[in-house]
Amino acid sequence: MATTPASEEIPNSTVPEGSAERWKDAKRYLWLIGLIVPSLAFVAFGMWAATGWSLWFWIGPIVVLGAVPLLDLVVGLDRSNPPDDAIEALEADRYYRWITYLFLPVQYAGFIAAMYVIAEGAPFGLGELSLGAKIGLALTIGTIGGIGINTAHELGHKREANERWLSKIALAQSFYGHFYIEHNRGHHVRVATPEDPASSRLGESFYAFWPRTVLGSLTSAWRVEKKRYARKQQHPFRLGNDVLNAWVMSAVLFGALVIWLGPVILPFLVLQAVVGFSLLEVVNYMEHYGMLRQKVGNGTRQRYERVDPSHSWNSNNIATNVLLYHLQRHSDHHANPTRRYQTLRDFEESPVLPTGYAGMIVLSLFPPLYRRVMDKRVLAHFDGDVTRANIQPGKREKYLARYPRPEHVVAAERQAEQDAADAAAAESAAQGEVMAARCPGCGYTYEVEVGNELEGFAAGTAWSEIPDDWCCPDCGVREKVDFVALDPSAKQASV
Amino acid sequence: MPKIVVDRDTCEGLGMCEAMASDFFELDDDEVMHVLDEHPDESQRAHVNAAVQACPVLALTLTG
Repeated sequence: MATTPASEEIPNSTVPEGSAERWKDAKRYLWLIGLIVPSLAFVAFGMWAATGWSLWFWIGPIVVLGAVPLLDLVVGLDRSNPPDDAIEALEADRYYRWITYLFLPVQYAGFIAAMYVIAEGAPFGLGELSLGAKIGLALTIGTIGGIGINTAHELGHKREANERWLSKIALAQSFYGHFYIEHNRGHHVRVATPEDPASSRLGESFYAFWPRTVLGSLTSAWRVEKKRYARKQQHPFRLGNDVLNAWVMSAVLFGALVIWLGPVILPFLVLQAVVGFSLLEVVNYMEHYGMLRQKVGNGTRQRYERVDPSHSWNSNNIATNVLLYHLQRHSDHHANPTRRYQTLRDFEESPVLPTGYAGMIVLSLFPPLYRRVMDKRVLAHFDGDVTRANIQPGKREKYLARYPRPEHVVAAERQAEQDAADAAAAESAAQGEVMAARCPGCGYTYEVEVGNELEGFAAGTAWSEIPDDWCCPDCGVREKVDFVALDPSAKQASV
Repeated sequence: MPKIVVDRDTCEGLGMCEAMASDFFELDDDEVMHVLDEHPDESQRAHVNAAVQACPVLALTLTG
């Protein structure tokens, strides 16, 4: 054996160097890179001040939609998982959660500074910004806000109350506080079903998904909170309503900025919020594209099968994984929603995207291209059977025509239907078969089990085999058709 | 022996537990959650615990 048992008590036993070392998180310090995103606002100001190029204000979308997708292609994959015995310590290590907490002050410093610069011009006499530069800056701030929703997502799933509050604060910039309610209490329950507004369907473009998810999330969140109060027989219009208090937080933030800086910032506030939550929704769009949990159970008690790793799209591209706190290990996230980002694992069974989420965002902005790349992957995931996918209702026929169900799938289904029909027929025959019949005139009973040798019916002769014109052997009056079939269970009880 | 404990004031009948472990949790037509088996077998602990941990409103605990 190459490895000798590690024990000091055994002579001449040498443990190979390094074999007893504890597992170390190779990404431990890489997670700090996530903090670069909120810092981009300051990079933009600094580089603009240094070079005078307004292009720097567009740095947010350039990094997230350009640099990160390229990095994903260049840097490659990381499939490493923490071993089971390291998970508890890794979860408890507070270093990781502080990285997510730190995102918030940097995010808000950049947000407020950007609004100030848009309204008042740059400080230190650096001058006014052109309209293009202001729009670029709003897009950059919006992109940061969108990535901030991902940070809020990580925080909002935790069992600690303070982290849940930080989650709502992170969402305030994008006016998307209801996401915290809808995501945890709506999306996670209904994921990969046609009822979920945040699970996209096969054939649904991002532009069709956007209004459905934005409106659907809003109504879903409100319904959840309304129901919560209805259970207590209270109306939902109170500050304890998590949808309302999250919106109040945004309204106070936006209101204070407008009072301070003037209504000139309003269009930019709106623009950055729309960019922020759209960035979140485009990520939502690809996470469950076409995935469908099958129905299980029978009759009226049908429900969806349990969520498993096969219901989410994953990616091991390291650049986006570091940027989005392992959001791409989405299957494990849905299996273990409270698990912290650093301990999320990669599963063999999960469907894998061709590149990281960042690259897929760019693709999804071009629906024909996105469908070209993704539809065949959805189909392969369901072994070629398109009916197992969550298909956009209006496009069902088109998809069935384009991807006919494979022969073996149809044959297997037909066989299963035939088997079920056979079994049902056999059962009803067994139940409907007359095992005994009584003459209504004299009370003579013909029993299949016994038969009637004198009449020429051997024991076991079925009632159906006896001719219709056969007369009762006892009274000779009544014919077979007059006989009354006896309930087998009643007969058994009487015996 | 593990025991499933439900905080009835907190439970909202969302159905996450049912989605994770339908053999232990069930929502009726009024969206009231029922625990089908309060005392899961030791061998089922991980399975039930996953459902308990997934509760979005922290209404479930697994003791013992």
